[in-house]
Amino acid sequence: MASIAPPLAPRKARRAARRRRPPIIPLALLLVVLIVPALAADLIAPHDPYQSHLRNRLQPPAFWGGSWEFPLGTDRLGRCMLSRILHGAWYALSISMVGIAIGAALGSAMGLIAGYARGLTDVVLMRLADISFALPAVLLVLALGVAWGPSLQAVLIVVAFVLWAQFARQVRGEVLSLRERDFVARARVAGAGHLRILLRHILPNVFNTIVVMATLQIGVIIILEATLSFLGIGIPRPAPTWGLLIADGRQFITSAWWISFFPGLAILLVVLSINLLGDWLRDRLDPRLRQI
Amino acid sequence: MAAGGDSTVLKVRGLRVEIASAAGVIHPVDDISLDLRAGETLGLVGESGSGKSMTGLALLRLLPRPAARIVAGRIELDGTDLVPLSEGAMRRIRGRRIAMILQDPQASLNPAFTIGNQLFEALRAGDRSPRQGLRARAAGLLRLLGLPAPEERLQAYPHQLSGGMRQRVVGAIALASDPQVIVADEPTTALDLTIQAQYLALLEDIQKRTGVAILFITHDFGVVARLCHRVAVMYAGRIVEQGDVRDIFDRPSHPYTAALIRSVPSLTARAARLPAIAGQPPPLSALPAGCSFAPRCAHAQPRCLAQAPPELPGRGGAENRHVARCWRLEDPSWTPD
Amino acid sequence: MIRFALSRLAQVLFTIWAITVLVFALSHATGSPLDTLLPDDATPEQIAALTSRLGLDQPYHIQYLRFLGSALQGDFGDSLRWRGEPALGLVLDRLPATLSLGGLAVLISLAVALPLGVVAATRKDSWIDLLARAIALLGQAIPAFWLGIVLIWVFAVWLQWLPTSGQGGLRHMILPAIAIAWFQIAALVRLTRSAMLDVLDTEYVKLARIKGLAESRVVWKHAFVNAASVPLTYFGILAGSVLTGSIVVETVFSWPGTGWLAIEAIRGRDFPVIQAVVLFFAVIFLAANYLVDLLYAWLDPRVRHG
Ligand SMILES: Nc1ncnc2c1ncn2[C@@H]1O[C@H](COP(=O)(O)OP(=O)(O)OP(=O)(O)O)[C@@H](O)[C@H]1O
Ligand code: SF4
Ligand SMILES: [Mg+2]
Repeated sequence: MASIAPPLAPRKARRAARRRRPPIIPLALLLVVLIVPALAADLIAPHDPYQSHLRNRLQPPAFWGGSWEFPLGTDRLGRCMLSRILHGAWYALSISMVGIAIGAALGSAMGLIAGYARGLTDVVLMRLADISFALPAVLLVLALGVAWGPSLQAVLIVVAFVLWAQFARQVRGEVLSLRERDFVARARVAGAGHLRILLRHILPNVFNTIVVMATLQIGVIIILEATLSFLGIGIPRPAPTWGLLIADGRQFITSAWWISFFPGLAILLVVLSINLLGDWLRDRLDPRLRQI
Repeated sequence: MAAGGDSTVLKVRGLRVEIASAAGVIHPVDDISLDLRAGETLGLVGESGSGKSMTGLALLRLLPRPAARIVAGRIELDGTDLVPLSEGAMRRIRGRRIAMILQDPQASLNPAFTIGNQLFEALRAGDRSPRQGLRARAAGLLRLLGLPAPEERLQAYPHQLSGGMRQRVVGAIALASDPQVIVADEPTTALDLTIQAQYLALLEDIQKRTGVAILFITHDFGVVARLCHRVAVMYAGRIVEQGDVRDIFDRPSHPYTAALIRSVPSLTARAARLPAIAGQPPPLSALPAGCSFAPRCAHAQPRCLAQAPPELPGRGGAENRHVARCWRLEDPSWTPD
Repeated sequence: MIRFALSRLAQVLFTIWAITVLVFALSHATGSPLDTLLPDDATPEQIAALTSRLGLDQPYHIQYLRFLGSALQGDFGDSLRWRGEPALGLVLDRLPATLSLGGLAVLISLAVALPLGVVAATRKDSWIDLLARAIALLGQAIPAFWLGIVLIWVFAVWLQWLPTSGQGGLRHMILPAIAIAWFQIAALVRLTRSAMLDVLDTEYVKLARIKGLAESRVVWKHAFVNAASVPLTYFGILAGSVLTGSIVVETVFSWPGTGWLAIEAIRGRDFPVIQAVVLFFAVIFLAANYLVDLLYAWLDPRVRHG
């Protein structure tokens, strides 16, 4: 290939500009598939998600030979799949939000303490984080599953367990360097107590990191929750979680593929959108996190 | 001094490199012409960012891809133009007929392989010589570059050698297949002064023995005075002056060169780094019309702002191949001092 | 190197110990195991007899030591769901099925992800790079169990190329292995690609090109060998996600491995079996991580030769 070539259009420049714009399509998808249904399923769902229509069992979706009465078809009891998926959004949204809040708060607090106190506290907390890392979450899931059976608490504990160590490590690393900075020394000289320094001076500086990490983890948590519910060790029946909907459709895979397909598609779209959003946030707020 | 007559091995004409960067399209190498004869060392000097490394990489057709590319000019190595060559043909020339020494010896050896492994590769690239002689030839090369206990060094990993030793290994790799031209990009910047002096003496010695032509990229006028036969001064992607080392130091013909020379306290002083001249070089994405140096030039005239100066004979005379890009040279009695 | 190996081994043993405590604590966190062991209408005599037989009248630390002692001997008690079978025996019976499926999944992910990541990095912004990036994004967004169901629908039900479920030859393993591998492929592609991009930018890769080496040699010898440490570090985590994946995917495909056993045990509230599975998985996972750490250290000449 000869190297004399016509001038290259500044493609990179255009791509950089595009990065800076918020990702519209993922945001719109999130609204349509997750947020609006989660908050207003009662208003927009065509049917009661628990209502059986026994004469309309296993109806295919409208575009697959079914009727518009049940746009995404029905399950084995004749329940409207679209309505069930719309109602399921609430579980995906609320559990991931609460779970992230618990995990991020716990982990960040541990990270703040470890990085600020250093010494033995730091060693002990980071050793605990190592152990959490070394334990696949699934083991805890199994143990809790049999100890408590399916329950909301078990799901939230698993989520917090999966998350805290990651937040703790990242936050600790940043605190270690922040605490040596001038503004912290100045606050100390001015007589600020430890708690005040941590909350007023250090926390605001790691906040971006926490937000970005939390966004990037939402997708992981949604999939984890769906997996637990699919296995029957997550949110108990009859809550129409997406995982449960997929599990219910499994035995009909040869005859009624839509029962499992659409809830999974909802998960796919939501997680994909959140990850794209998280990437964008990371580029904006905290490029140092790129390696994660 | 330079070997006489028609022994030009590398002839660069109108070389132009383009980079499509976030700031727009720039030309870090712009219309550059150079001649390099066998056994000659040409110093390429200029401020940071003036395009020296880009020029060196362009000569080996190793510009960072896909951002940078050669858009005009010829690079004639022994009469063959390298620019239109296929990648495969170019590969057979790299390492064999034209080699390069990178600036950072710390980083230019692969940490995962032994010195021997990396040297063998270079030796084998040179010719299809039988494997058995390889070890002896590798050790011989290391000895040539003044590395003690070369046989043992072949087993060592880069992290086990000092910076100076690593630089010698990099030199050995460059010399492995007896190239006609070596581009040395600030090969001594990372070394301390004693080792630097030893290394330069070594290069001179090797050049005498092999007749290799060296394009020596540097910031350091002390090194230029000590090592080079000819000098090219780069400013904002262009060569603003080129000539014999004596003419450049004694009769600088471009205001930029003159300012550089003036600010070197004593040419024999070691490590005389290129000093700051008032002002900054212009960003390549926003070069002024006319002479790029005009905003910092004490001799600038209205014409300088309007029209880029052509290459004119310098004060050392055309017969000595002394040229500079400055309008004021049209007046034979003018001096930039 | 030996010091490193020993200190890491100590950490691994400590972690395993911590897991035994956790498992023990959980087994006592929800009332007495008697509830699951005895029928609802058990007489007080029956309860008392079982209590003292299991040592439940002892203080907790004594109970823990007894638990640890029998666990060390491989005795986790008998299964409650599969009456009379020792828990560990059940796990060991199912283990080969899980390991072969997991092994195939790891092979598939390496065989797909490493070349794809490398080529994507060397042809940045080409269509193959776009494909690699799309796979990386999708891999993180698709739940393994749903992918398994979709694969069954497409390849077993619709195209009828492969069986839907159960055990048999390699044909039975392909779909579940892909379902497990998918997430790993995504993660490995992303890591390999970014590590390669970093390494391709280094001076030593430039020097390899300056030597006139063939591009394949530059990429696979000089760049990849250095970039590989990044996906290698990930390999330990990969072992964990293969275990996770196997539990879910075995359930989807009715693959008679340890994962499926675990889910059946949970449904039957079969604590002895779950204890055995958890500790066994933990040991496998930690051992895999330990080996990766050693390999990693050994591959780095800076560690290997002081
Ligand atoms: N990948 C790139 N993308 C955009 N611009 C680049 C790139 N690489 C180099 N440049 C620009 O090209 C110009 C020339 O760089 P070059 O490395 O050749 O300078 P140099 O003279 O070798 O400087 P130094 O003395 O610091 O090594 C610089 O202005 C630099 O900003
Ligand atoms: S051309 Fe004009 S501005 Fe440029 S160097 Fe000469 S005198 Fe200065
Ligand atoms: Mg340079």
